[in-house]
Amino acid sequence: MSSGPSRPWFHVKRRHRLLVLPLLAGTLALACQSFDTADGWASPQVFEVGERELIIHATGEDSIVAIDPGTGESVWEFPDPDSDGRFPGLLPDIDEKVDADSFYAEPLLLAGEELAVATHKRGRVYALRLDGTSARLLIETGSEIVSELNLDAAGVLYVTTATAGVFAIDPALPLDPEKPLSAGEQPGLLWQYNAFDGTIWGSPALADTETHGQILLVPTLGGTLYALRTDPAGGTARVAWTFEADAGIGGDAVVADGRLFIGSFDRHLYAIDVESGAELWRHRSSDWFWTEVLVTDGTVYAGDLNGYVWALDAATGAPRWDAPYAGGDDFRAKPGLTADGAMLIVVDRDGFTHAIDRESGSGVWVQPRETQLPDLFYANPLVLGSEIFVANEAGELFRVSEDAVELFYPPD
Amino acid sequence: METIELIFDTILIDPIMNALIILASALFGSYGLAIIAFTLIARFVTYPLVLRQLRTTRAMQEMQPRLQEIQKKYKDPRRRQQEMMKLYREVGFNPLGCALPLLVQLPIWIALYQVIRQSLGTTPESLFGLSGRLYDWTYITEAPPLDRNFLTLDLANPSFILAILVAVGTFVQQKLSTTRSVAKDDRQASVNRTMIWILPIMFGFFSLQVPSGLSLYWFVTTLFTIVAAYIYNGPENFRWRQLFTMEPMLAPSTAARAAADGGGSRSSNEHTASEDEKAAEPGEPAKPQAQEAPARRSRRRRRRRRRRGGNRPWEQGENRAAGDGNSRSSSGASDDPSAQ
Repeated sequence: MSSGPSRPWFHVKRRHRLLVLPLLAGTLALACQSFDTADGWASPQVFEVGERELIIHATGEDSIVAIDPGTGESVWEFPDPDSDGRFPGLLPDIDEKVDADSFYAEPLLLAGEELAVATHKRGRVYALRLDGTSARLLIETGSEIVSELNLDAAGVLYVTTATAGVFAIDPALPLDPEKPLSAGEQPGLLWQYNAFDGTIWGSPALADTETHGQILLVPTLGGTLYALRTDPAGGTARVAWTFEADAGIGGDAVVADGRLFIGSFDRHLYAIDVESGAELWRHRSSDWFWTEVLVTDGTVYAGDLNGYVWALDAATGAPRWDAPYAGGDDFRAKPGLTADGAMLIVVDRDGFTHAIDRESGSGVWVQPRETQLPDLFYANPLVLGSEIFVANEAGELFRVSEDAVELFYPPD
Repeated sequence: METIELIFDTILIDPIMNALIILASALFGSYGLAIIAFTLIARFVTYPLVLRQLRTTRAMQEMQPRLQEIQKKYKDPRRRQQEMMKLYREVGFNPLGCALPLLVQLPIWIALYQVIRQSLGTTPESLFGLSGRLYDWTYITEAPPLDRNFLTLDLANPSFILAILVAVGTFVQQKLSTTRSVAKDDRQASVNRTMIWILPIMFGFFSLQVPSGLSLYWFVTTLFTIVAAYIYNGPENFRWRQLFTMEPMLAPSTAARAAADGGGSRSSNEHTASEDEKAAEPGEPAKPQAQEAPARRSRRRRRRRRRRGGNRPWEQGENRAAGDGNSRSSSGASDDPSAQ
């Protein structure tokens, strides 16, 4: 084709040689572009506000939205997208925007029709009025929050952060709207405990014990589970006992009938006595347990990251099914239960919803392959009457049934 | 695209990830030590490529006089290119020898970025994907999450100090791998000078964007290459004082110096077109060793220069730079037939 001089294929014209570097830089930049977006996996929740129900959902726009379950329309959103990041009625009147941030912790109902919501990156906890009329900043922890919030019977809110430990706060403390908070001031803080052996991404659970009173069970990625006495004698929490797993504990702690159930990266699901911290039984799987178990009627249901769902006797750890349910990708989401209690609803990471017969462990129906939903799914499914809602990490909420899937929020 | 991803994952990401986890477990749980150990192992495995790079640099240096002869002798670009390729073949020189180690490292760099991102679990989602990549061995599966702190570094986040170290290391490496070019004009010389600065700036900038674990890999790689070059070339050929000048750090090799002495060049890239025009027969690149007359002229000139000041050619960078300007202009003039 060309009659020009024969040149080696690697020859680059002199004036073009400098272009090689930007090209190399571009290639590297493209390859190393950050995929490390913490999108959050807060699960949708339903709350009653007066006569109506509202689905509280963490959106892909880093906000919390209250959705009418009948119409799918947004009732209110926090932070308010129309107010330049400000929220009407936010107390104290901090002179800054409410940062848009992702949410890992599920909203938690406080007294007085308020919801506690925890933002991930800045580690802020707000109390939002369920009707969306006002909000209060309860605490700014300065550390990321991935764990769920806990509220005890006395109304103390426990905020567990990734690296700054546990904060016990009084969410009912009234704030003076005329008096802005000074830097670092945490008016509702009762105590803070931060002597853990690793980052905390798993969720703590509260338990009442005869020996130690109320304890907060905090799992760490360092592989230790801490039982903290929440009685603030001496100004802070004290360790009642600890439990060591063979690897990090990223799962959420669940307490039922004096037993703590939690999964670990050592591929075991543990049952631990909350009084002593003694191991009651352990069940080994073929991959990590990084989930929140469902405990009902003396049975523990848990999915693992190898796509199995297990049903185990809560007292002994003996399998309840002939074989675990195997039909999906990784299961992080906690199993849901249908209204009649006959079926488990599980969502795998690839976005397929599975209905499993609770007694036998056999699949009842699986969402068809051709209706696979976009993005990844980590949030727990919300079973509301006969309807199932699942949320992906992009913050889209879908209504799923045996034979149909539809986008519920945001509306098309 | 998915197939490429699968191959990339299976061949690079998964093995590197598992290897790093094993190393971290063996090295007191330190991911930083694991990265250093991995880098050294990777460099020893690819040592033949490093060696080739060093040989290429050396060969390039030794070829300079003959390349300059060709540059000056042949004004027709096509013929010049042919002669250069002929010379490359003759001495077994592969211009890709320098680029190959960098090209080989590129996929490792990209894979390592993904590995560090996932294995250190900078977000819950990234750690979540790790379980599916681990080989089914308890030693590995129970290791995560790994300790992301090393000395004062958070290996999952960029480090300013390490970025500076990477930039400095890359600069030294560039200086070591740069030979005096057969710069024909100011533009080419400018490109060469720019290359010495751009790569360090580029890698320093990248280090500010990526996890410092990756910067640690790059820094150790650079150190390895510098040490290898030091050992390969011999301490006597290193001129550390040239680190802060525009001159190459490697002293001209014995062969190159001999060629320069006998081939009519005052230094490895210094020629005047008039000398070359006179020295070479048309159509035949003159072998430097055979150029008695230009060599004598060159020696006389050197002696005159010594009387004026400097004693060794490679310590007269500034003088030569000024001289280059003169020679380039005369070379440029001789390129233009109408000017002759």
